[in-house]
Amino acid sequence: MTVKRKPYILLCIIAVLAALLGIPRLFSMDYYLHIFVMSEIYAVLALSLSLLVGFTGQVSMGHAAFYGMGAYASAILSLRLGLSFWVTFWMAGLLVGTVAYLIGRLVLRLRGHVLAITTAFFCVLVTVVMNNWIPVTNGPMGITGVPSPSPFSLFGVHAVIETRAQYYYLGLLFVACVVYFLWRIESSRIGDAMIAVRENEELAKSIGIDTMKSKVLAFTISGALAGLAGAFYAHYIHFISPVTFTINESINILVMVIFGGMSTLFGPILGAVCLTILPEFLRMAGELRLVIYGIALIVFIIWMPMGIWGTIQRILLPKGPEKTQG
Amino acid sequence: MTVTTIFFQQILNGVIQGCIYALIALGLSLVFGILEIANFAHGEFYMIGAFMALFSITFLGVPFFIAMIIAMIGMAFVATVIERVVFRPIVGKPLINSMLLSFGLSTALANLALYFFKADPRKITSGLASYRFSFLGLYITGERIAILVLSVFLVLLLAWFIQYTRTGKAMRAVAQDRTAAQLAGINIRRIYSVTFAISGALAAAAGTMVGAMFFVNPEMGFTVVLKSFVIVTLGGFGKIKGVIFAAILIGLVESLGGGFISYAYKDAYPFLLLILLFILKPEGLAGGK
Amino acid sequence: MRRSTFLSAMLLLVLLFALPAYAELPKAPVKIGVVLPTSGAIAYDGNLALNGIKMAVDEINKNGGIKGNVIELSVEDSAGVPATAVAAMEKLVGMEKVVAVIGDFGSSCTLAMMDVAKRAQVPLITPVSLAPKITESGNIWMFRGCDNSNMIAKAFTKWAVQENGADKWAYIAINTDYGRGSVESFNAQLAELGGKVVFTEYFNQGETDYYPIVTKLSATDANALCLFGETVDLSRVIAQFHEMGLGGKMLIMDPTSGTFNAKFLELAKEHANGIVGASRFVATIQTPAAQKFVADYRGRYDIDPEKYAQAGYDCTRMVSLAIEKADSLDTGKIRENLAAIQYEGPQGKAHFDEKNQLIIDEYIIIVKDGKFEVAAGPISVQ
Repeated sequence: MTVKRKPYILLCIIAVLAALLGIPRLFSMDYYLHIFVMSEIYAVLALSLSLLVGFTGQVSMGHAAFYGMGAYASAILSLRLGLSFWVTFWMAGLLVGTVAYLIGRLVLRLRGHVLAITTAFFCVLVTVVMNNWIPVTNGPMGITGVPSPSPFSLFGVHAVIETRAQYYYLGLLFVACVVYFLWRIESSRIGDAMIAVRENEELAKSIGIDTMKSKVLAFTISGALAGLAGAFYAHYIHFISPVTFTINESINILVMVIFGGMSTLFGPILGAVCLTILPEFLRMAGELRLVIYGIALIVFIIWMPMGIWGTIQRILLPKGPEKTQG
Repeated sequence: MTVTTIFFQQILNGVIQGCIYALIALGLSLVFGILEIANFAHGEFYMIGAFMALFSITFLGVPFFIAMIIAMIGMAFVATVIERVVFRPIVGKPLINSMLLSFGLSTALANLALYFFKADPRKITSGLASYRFSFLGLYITGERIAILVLSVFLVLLLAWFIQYTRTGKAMRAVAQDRTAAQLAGINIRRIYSVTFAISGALAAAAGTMVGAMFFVNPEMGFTVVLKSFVIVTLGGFGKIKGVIFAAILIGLVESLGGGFISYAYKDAYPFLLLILLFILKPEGLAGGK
Repeated sequence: MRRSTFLSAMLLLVLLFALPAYAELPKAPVKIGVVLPTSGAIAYDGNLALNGIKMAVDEINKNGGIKGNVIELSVEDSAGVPATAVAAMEKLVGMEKVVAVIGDFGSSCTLAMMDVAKRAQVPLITPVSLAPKITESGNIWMFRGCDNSNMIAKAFTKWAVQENGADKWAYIAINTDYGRGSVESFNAQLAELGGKVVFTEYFNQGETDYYPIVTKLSATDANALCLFGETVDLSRVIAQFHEMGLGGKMLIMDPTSGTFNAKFLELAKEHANGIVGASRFVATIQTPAAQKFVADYRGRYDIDPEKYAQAGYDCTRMVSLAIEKADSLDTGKIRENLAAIQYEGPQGKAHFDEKNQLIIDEYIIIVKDGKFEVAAGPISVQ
């Protein structure tokens, strides 16, 4: 990056931040804010999945399982043990991360479509457990009354998270932290190892990279982040049930990642925002909205397989390194 | 019924269910092996085939078997068109592209069917369900016997086709090495179309049978496609024998597990089987089962 | 892609964001919102309820509306997904500014929407959802416009055990809150009356192969089979039950009337005969009000109405009545009047108790010669 471009980038970032912070003023209706908060949750889900799929090249169709486990963990811990969201949020992340680690060790020796199918079925397994382990999850009846994050005082300011606008700001902070965290990982040596695994796993092994370790690390981090997103969801909608965490949801998140451009940091966010807003926008189309959605997806894959942001990058940075599709 | 009788009844149930799974999975496996495309919309081929049979019976008044043949031919044609328009552009691209593309196709087709045909479930009458046979304490209907016989017949027909006809041999060649097959003068595009046509026809046959045994409705495709992928994974891509074994195995596991352990966890049993096999055979299941 | 194409694509994206702001519909006198699954797995049943709602609205409008003001219906699809149902509800109360919402179908969606009703202070009435939490959460803006499992259990179990000697029950139930909750409610009643449970199995929605379950069932000594599920699933269970040769070996009960509609009769044919159950409404109730409703519905939709259509119809009429009594569009007043309402509809008299649970009578139904016959009732369930 030349010295001339840095001020522009900084200006862009400030402009974007200002716009983001001003959204609740511009779109004050709860309907819009709800869509934005859901976009934030999906942004974290898409970002975490992109670490695994886009960066490390491992196709996983089980993301919704971690999302769901995080939601249930946080809900159950806060309701049964009376702990506050601020505690259960992190506990959920830790718990789900551990599960992801164990599953990863078991499953990541597989590759390609076999891995995809196995993770898909893992997702189904988790859904079945959610639906039938009544004493813990209350099965299909779901868990109601999940509390909001408890009020707190910071620097003498008393803060409450109750209105949709307040959730929006909290979610914004969440997304920003996740973006920063992933950026640090992806530009580090760990990130380089992951890219190596994606490009050519055999070659990576031959130059001494522990590919299994990289894959498992990516899987664990991506799972843990999904768990955090799940915890956020639970304390936002105040009610969770297995219908939200099915394999359909895994596929939805995967589509967001591909749509936005999966080897980039901004792409998944774009994908999440667009694909959360689009179905709402298509409400006007009535019964045909899912048909339009399906056709749009087909057209998209044929003509823009690198995702929106990936394609944009190719136009604006023609001299950049070629980022291949996983 | 004694426990032994129940055991054999569940086995019979499982085998018949497995035969239907086999028909669906075989088409999927062929497309996977020859075009290296994961077709999520395969379930919709099955669904459209069932609707074609339904409408043949309702509007053309033909008997069940003719309706099935009409559905098979019709779906073969539709599948070829879909292959040309939708899948041809992405042959050779990474697997994930075909997965998502076919997922979009599946959503579009299923919801289109929902829009036109409404969510009403309908039944295909085969006229054979009323014949009930009982032997050695086991129960089976005439319909299920017909399905068993038909599936076996179709599978044998497919096996003969792949093994002994020129097109079949060409298909095997393309599955082995696409470039070499092209160099040997095989018309790749024609093989692609034929493969899709066959997969569509088999799916339509399965759909018709299921429509007779159970129901026809626009959502029916979505639930079978994931199971079919597992069967193809277990059995091996493009390997007929392996897929058949895997299909029947899954049918049995579901039947026995659901019957003897708990029905609510039925969907989990094939997964547990998968995990078990991966532990015992960690290098993966590249070969047949 | 050229620069110009790219820029126009970006412009399109920006417009995509901005357009919803311009989507204001023209204001109408009385706006009522509806959230139901018009797509997805339960689209068929969701649309039945919608049929009833639409018919009620047209009837009221034809008779001059509510005090001369026309009702305008805004229907949103929840697709059976809780977060989508919440979005639909937010859109209705925030953008369309409805004064009441009828919905949803599945309890998961209704439970997710309840909070929004409270926050926006708009009455929400569900014509179908059965989860107990709906009326046990102290949310005064939430109304249940149908009977619940406990009420049906009280009416039916007594009749089954005492009048039919059905004391060894087997359950085959759908694995949802409706199925599990119903089994719980009925078990409690059965235990009180000295009955026994010999078999309980759950199936997942959309299941096709019930042979394993039915095979297992045949090994028990049950004299009554209690089914909880919807039309399609249960017709498969019944068909396979008979295919296994179990016909006539036990009393088939469908207490929550998942099968008491014309579609089931069409799918199950002669196997439907002999099924007993309870329902708040079937098309053969011989009161003048019921028969008029049936005739009107049949004339409009070419099929007999069943309980979902009736619930949709009654909820709509109750809401309209409440708005009329409140004589204002203030949602607080509408809520008060709805809670205190005394309504009489096709299925009989109805009012809400202190938890906003609808109190109505039940009928015992038996299927004879492909028709639903009222065997007993109306039975009060208080």
